[in-house]
Amino acid sequence: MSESLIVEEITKVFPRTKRPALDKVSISLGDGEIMALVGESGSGKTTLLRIIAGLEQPDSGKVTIGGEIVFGAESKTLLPEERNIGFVFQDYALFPHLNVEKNILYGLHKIARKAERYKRAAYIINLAGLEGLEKRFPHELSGGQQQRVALARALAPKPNFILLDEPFSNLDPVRKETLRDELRTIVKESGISALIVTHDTRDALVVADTLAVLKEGRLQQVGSPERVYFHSTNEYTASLFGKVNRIPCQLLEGENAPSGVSEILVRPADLEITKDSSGDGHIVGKVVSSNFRGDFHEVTLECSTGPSETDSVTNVTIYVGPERSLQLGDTVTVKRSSRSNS
Amino acid sequence: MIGVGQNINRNRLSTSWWWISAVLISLVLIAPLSVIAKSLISEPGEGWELISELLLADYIRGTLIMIIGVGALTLIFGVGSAWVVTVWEFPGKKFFSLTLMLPMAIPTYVMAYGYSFIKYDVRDPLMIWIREHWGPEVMSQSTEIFNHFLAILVLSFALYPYVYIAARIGFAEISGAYIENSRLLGRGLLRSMFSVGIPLARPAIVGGLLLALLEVVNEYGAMTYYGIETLTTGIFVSWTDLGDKDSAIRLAGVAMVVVFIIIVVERALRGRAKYHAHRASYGNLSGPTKTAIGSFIAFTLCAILLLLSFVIPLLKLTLNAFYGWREIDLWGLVSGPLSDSLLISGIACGVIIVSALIVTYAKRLFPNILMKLLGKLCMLGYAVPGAVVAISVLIYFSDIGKLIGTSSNDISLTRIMFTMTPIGLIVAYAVRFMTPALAPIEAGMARVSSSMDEASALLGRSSWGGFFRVHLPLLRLPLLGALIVLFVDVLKELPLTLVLRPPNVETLATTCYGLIQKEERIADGSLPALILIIAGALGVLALHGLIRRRTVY
Repeated sequence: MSESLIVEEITKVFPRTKRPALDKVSISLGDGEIMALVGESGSGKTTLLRIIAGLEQPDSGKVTIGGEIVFGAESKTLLPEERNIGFVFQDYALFPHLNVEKNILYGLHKIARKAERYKRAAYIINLAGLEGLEKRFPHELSGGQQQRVALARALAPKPNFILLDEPFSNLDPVRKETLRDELRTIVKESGISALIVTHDTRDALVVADTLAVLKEGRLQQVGSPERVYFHSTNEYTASLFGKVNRIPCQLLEGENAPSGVSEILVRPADLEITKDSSGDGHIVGKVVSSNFRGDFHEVTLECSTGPSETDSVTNVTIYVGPERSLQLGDTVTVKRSSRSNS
Repeated sequence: MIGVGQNINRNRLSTSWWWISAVLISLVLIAPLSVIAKSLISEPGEGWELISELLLADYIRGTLIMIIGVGALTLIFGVGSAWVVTVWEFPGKKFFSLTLMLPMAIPTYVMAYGYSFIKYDVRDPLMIWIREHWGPEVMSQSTEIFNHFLAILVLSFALYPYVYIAARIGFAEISGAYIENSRLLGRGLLRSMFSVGIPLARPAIVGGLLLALLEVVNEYGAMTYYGIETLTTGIFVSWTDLGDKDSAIRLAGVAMVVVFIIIVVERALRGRAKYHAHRASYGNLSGPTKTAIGSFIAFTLCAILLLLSFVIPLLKLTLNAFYGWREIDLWGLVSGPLSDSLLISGIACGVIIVSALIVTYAKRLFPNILMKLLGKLCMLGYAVPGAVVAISVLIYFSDIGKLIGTSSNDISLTRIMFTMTPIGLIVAYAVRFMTPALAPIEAGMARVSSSMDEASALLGRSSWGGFFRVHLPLLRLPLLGALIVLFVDVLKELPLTLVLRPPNVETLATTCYGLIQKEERIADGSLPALILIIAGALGVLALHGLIRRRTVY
């Protein structure tokens, strides 16, 4: 698989800030791949997107698009209009003075023959399911329709790849899931690779082939959704994608020789809870409170042999999958289920 | 007629003072303009036949040529420079973004005097050459054409900042995402100006153009300087040269029709939709566009425009004043026109600001249709050419004088208002310049929430207390802004002052016009012209600072 985008060691420091917005970030996007760039606000993900688009200038590093260096120490920096990439803005930025068809035709001016232009536009309109809306103006469209127009407009000029900046943040939460799947289908059908920036890890898990996690300008982990979710390389990534239980454990070195105390991180679904006090688990304790939180129960256990090994009673909060209901006063043993390992 | 205002102050006795004063002020400001409407219905006099047959077509043609020419050039200068300064990064960008507003400080007639070294008349070598080769007929025609071109150029230099400022605001309001998106779809910044920038900023640009065109219709000094006949110069010809009052008013009526058409066209061009950014842009529209050639072109374009529209005329006038230093009667200037100008402008500004405050506050206390209508009508005068305002005020008040009828001829209302004191002049300034005071005060007051008035009233303050303790302190910055614009506008107003000043009073504007244009004492007249420019430039800079401060807060 050849790469449509290679970003190498991009560093960017904004004036009057100490911490770099981006610190030696490298990613690559394969042909036809959908990658999600995940991070909290301020993590530098939008800055990276704007640097790839040419809307922002990095301090150092190299950006290669379709085999051509568009930014690099020894080559000429290409302007945004010379890079041939599609961009879907957070607020879609549909031109309010142009109708749907004209918006899509906007980027097709390089096709010399008018008939060819309209043919391509018609193909894209069909792909994005916008038939019948050609003459509508942006303000006459629903949020989901606007998103499809923005996507169609970005895909129309056959760009090297498309960039999407928080594409789901302006959508009605109820319709979001359908639109999310729709977007993935359209992009996959067009065969054009995409880089999606989002802070919503669920969107990222559903839409992307590959995830890249960014924190404070540093790349944390790159990998398939399953790998990043279940085999997070660090605590930040693990907690970003959902509740995790921190379970204290002893590190063993060689032949059962204790070498230090650490914590393991376990997803709520991976906790095995049994109603006995055999002591063969990580935590044994009495349930003192249990609160339903939607995706999980927040359960507080009173442990007599807590992690600190003191005589005093310690309260430990664990997150348990939603299907379990624990009675107050039960004494339970918590273990990590055998199918996961991290 | 108190109306059905929903304000809790409504039932207090002290509040009726506000609406009574507001209605009275509005009447004084609006009533004179009725003279023009009346004249259009009444039977025409003998002089009108002459004028309508021989001159009217020329007047209208001259006005239209100037409107079209100046309109096109101000659009090119204003929109072009605004786009360059908005989207490109180049050395001197900040400097140009400020200084390109400065030509607004040069009154149009002063701009013409600044270019006094180019003017085509029978003495011009080129014209003499044309006469020798093609005869006097061709010469007089080419003189006319050349002077039209010059006048269009000179007026455009003075008036493009209206379009420039409007376009800057318009471009700034466009979400940066639109322009970025246009670039990402493969269109460069120049093409994006036509496909995204201008369509989206059109309402703002057309608004700026409207102001520039109204100034063209208003223009008197520069037009007579280049010998161009327009409706405004026609009003002066029939008023002062022919002494034909009736025809002057009829011409004023025609001028108003032209103004009306301009406003209607503006409304139509503005379009139904106002495109506003629904989300703040990323602050700066300009991406990394630092190519050496691009920067050089951008710099050169801005520099040429600034040079032609500000530096050259300023330099020329300074040199005139410098070389003719001995001819200048400095003391005469300071004790006469300068102090008169400052005094009259100061009083006029005070009167206008106080009236605007009363009208605006009354409208706030009684938010009914009548008050809103009066507020709108008070703004009408700004669209009316100065010469038209002048003769309608003059005729209106002499008619009232006749109605009152005094036994002694020495102290008639007309004499008191227009000959013995500058009261008539100040009233006319108020009729014409209410808008620059009303607009910022209204905007400023609108930002104070109505719960403030309610809180003030509940704390036991009357409407007066609310006005002095709440609104006036909060309006400090808008008031200062209004005062600056107003002062500069009044100071440089020429045609209105020429008609209405008492015989013994000269302002800077009339001195400058009289010395340079009538007596051709260029060195002498350059000093008052320079003072006008400096006052204007300080005003523009102060206003810019104010606007920036207000956006910071």
